[in-house]
Amino acid sequence: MFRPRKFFRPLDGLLILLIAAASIWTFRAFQLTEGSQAVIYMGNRKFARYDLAGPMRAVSIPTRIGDIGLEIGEGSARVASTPCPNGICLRTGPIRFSHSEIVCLPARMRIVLESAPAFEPGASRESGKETDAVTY
Amino acid sequence: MPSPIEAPGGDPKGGSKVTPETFALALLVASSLHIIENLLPRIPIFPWMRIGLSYAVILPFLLHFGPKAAFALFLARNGIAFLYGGQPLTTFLIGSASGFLALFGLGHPVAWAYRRGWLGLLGAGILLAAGFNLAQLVLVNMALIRHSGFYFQTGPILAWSLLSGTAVALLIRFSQAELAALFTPGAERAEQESAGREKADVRKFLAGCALLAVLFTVDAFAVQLPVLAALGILTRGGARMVFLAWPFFFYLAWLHLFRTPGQFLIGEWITREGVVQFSVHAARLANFILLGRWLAGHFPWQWAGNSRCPYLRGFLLSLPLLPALVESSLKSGKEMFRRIRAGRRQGLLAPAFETWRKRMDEASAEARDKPPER
Repeated sequence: MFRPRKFFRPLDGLLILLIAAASIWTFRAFQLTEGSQAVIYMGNRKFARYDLAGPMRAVSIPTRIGDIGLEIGEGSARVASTPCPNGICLRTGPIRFSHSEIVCLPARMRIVLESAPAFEPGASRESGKETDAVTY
Repeated sequence: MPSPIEAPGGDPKGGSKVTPETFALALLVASSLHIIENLLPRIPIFPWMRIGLSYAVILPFLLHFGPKAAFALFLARNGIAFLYGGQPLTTFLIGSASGFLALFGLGHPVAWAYRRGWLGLLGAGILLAAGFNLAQLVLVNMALIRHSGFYFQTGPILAWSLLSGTAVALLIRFSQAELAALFTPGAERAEQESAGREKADVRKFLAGCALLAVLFTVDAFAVQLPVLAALGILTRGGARMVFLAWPFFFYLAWLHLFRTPGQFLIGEWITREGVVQFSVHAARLANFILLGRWLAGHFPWQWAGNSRCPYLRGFLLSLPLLPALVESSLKSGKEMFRRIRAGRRQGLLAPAFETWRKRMDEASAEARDKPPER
């Protein structure tokens, strides 16, 4: 008949610990990898959002002064072309950190980067709290 | 005396010793356990998190006969759930592929470690549950969801594997006498294989399989929508089948409709690109479900009639008994839970084994007494 000593062996205990550890690790890993994205506003209205993850891609945004060309991907966003004579948004360059912005007043367009708190630069992974400021 | 789930005489390759009768009995009990499990409520967000009660038969089969026999049993159980239980084709395909990966990928190492005494029943149950669940998660994402965010389920699924693997190991632990009897060869039974089944048109079946391949590879609306309209007309009870698959549509909505980046269409939640992605994937999923139903009704059973494979013969041996599957499962399930509530741990699987042994004996006697057809 069945041999009870074979129900549990020391290796089973090790296996349980390993699977439990892998489970906890993946819980935490997915908490940290919440994707950051670029949210585009037209005036006060949200117009679009794009993931920063993935390869660099061109996106065209229709505005009141004409189409503005963006390059979004590889963790950053930037304005690549604009009909605006000032070109401030163009000179801002790429932005990659949460809450960074590119603003084009003539077009009434604003690009804001958003991401989960635990993924933000300067955030403490243990506490999940972000540092407000650093002074010297 | 050796454990009932060890290969007789310490022979690690006991595969040749599988008889159609053993296979048929194991299949009927596993199918009953599968049905009993389907009657239990599921976790809403994680519908594929199930205990896997039928592994109480499949795992001993793996340890006794090896991965090939265990996978044959698993596949046959899935086949019955698909052909008779109205299970969607997607569930059948993904479940079978996951079982293939888990049983052939982990089966040999698990059986080897168990025979050497390195791994206990508990470890074998947990390892197999984790392997199966992870394979299923990857396949569901690759075939249906296609979104990396879906892997957030890895943590919960591994945690669940610990619980479900333990539950299966305990069920085996408390069913030792029944499993010992299962692996004891019985008398040859008269075969009533594929009796009364009509011949199906093989060309229609193969055309259906080809269409399935097209639907899987081509995502375009121009292909998916006309097929959906045609299948909606051809398949009886199709709307109900599609409705029952709601958890898949829930995930599609969550990951594609609400999370696809692009230009906002409705509020600040749904983008134009999200609507397109969701619509294509939902149409494809509905097509899989409806086409699967149609294929089940057009399976060419005459292909299997002359085989000497013990697994196929065991499967065919069980077919005439399947009309009683739900009734017998409910009866043995109630008895099993009554025993659990009463604190009678030993012999938990006894009601299922007794019911099916009795029915197999009756069918065998009936087939012997029947005059030969001219």
